Amino acid sequence: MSDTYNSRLEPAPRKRFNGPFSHLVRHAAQRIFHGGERATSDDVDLSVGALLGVLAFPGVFASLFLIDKYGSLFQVLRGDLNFDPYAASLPDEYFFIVLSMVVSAAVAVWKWDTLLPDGRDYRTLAPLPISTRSFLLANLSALVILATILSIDVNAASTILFPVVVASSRSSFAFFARFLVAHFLCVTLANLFGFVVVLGVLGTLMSVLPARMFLRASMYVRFAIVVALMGLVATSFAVSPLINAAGFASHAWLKWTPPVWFIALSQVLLGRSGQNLLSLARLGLIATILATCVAVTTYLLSYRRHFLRSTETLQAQGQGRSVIAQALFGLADWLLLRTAFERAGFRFAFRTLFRVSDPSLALGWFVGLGVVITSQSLFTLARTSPAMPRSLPSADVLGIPLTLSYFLILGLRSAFEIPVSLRANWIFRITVDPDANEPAVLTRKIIWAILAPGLILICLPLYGHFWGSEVALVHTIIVAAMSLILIEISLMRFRKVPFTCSVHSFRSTAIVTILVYVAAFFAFSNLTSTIEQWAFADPVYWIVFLFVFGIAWAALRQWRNNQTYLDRRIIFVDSPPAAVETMNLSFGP
Amino acid sequence: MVTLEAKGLTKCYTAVPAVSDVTFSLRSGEVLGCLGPNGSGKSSTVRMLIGLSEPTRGRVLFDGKEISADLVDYRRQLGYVPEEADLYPFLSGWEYLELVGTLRGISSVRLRKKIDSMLELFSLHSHRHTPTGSYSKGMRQRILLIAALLHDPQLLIFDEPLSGLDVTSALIVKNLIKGLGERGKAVFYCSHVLEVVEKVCSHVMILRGGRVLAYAPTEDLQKSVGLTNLEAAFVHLVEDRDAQTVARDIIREMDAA
Repeated sequence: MSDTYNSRLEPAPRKRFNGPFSHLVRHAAQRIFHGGERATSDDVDLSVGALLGVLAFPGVFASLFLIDKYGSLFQVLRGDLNFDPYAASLPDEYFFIVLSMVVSAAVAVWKWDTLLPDGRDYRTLAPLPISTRSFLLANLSALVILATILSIDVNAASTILFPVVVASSRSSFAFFARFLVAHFLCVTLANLFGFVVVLGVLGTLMSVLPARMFLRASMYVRFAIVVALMGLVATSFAVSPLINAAGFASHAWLKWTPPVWFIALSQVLLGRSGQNLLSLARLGLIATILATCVAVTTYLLSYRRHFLRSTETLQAQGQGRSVIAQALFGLADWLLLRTAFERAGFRFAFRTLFRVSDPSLALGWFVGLGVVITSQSLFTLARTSPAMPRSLPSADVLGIPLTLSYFLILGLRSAFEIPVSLRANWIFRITVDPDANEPAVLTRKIIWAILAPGLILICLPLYGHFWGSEVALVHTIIVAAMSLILIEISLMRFRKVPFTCSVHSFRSTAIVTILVYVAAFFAFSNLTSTIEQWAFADPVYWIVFLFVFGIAWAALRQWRNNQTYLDRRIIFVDSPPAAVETMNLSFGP
Repeated sequence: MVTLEAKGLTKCYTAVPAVSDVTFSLRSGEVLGCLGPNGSGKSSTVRMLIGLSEPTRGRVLFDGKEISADLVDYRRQLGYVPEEADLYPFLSGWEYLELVGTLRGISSVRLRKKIDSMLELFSLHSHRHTPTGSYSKGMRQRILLIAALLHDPQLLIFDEPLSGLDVTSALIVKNLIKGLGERGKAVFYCSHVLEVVEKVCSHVMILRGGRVLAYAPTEDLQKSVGLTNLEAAFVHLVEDRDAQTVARDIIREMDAA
């Protein structure tokens, strides 16, 4: 009787979810979310809820944003009585597919170091009586769970809201249901594809490269993937109008754009089949299956190769001193750096930027965006005028280095805000005089050290080759002058030694900041290049330039002169402003 | 001749003070051992001594001047080894020492020579280009020790410097601390290892519950409680529980079904 009583007290399912295997799965999932052995930026650890919220936001926002496009009342008001929801939804469907693919791939890139068990897992779990196969299965299960949660999170809102919004133009449940199924399948497959491709790249690199080389290559590969993902985002605007028979005939590269496979699949599922669409949809399915197989196979191989030998490889991670880096630091000491703080901070910032993933990925996102926008300009230019004009450069061409400088400066500025190994910053706290050293001066020099070689070694010779030395020199000076202003503006109120200060995760001004960034981009790149083009044609416009530059410089000087020493003092803790502040008017011991 | 003085140091994080009315002085050539069980306020005291946290009440004086009056100048003469070996894991041992030495204002030629010879002496030269993230705890601890000694400070504050060190390195560090005292440096040494404190410290301060329980020259402290070694004196002053009884209870608990 007591046995029966006990079995009632401990129901079977609860037992199952508390066993060693479920603990291993939970451990693996936590490692993936919160960082593994090489995690260093301790303060950018978003909670799972916050992360899922951030990832779900674009789907919700984009779906709601489309209401006015599909609402039947809006169509009547627009006088669009022959509205075809299938055709109209194509670019939006393409956007959701790209979004789903890019988000899952981006999360995999972000969590790159934690997707496989690492040396810390090995040291913690190997002494326990658990087979290595259990580790492997637990990690695979955690990855599957992560991919599923990610897929649901990113696509849930659009899966419900987007078909609802599109179906609002037709009062038919069958239409809604069919659209929902097609949309759900395509975004889910796109999501899976994005995730497994990154996992496959990671697994392949780990299986092929020696541990030391893998660690070095990882950063560059991740950077490249980030740029490629930005490129995919950019296709949202360019590819949708080409998805038709004529488009496929004239643009062969469309066949090799992964989101196109899934948009083709959605069209096939909606009954709009054609030979091109059918073959592309088939290609998408095959690619997803292949990528999944490659990811799983290389995952298994790399597990055997790296994880089971992780304690040995950890010991073998030595790297020699780079002679080139030493020479460049020496040159910077001679040319740029005046104080001990600047010399130490300069070396520290460069080493951190090129060795720690979070700051370099943040920079990668910005540079990637700049490269994508620039390549679109070049793409348009190549279509409209295949041969480079020899007279004067157009505004688009003049805008290219401005665009790249803009994103590089803002990318560096954002990357410097990211805290890295915050607990180790005590060495700065006890050795740096917070009043005698200005972080903005150091940061300005670091940005110039990265930007200036690009201007002198790439911008100047390229423009000189196509438009002559005079145009090249003037244009390089204009880009440098505008960059100078942008750097100064971006460093107003910057009081941190790069990477050493905590950051509070939520800023109430975040949306305003983004809008300011967008507006500043148009002013910095488009407006400047347009005025510059006018000035090349009519030198009177140079006065406008000098006037704008002079006003901006004077305003910045005024701002700097009005600063007190407290506005420049180094900080190591960036705390949000208190909701209620006391005035501390009482006196006492 | 330098002197570090703490006068009535008190630190409150909550209503209960973590450190309460700690007073001592440390002169050149003295090695003051700071002992106490976990949570006795040693780390909070150290943080106030190096100026990383402000005392709620009380003062820290260096050469008769409050350290808060010119914290930067005070820290120029301070070498500090923290309890946790928090280094930048992506920097190699050499790069970390270069960072610290440069921040300390040591000229690059002198710094390079000093780093190389110190790494050699601490048996880390062959690992100098390996990222500190893959160092053992003992190796990281040795890097911190070198970083604290690079600029030849007048005052050294060591918080558990032997933690993780192998036998040879621990012996070297013990002799080093003694030697630093003999060379006229003032050394504040926090540790759990009573034998080491007994051997290297000229004075001992025992903390419990944030208060100073005893503060005297090492020999005087042993005599005052009528015991022959520091371990017995410490147990007599600090521990409520008999260690042997607790060990027996643990074994009994292991045997229990």
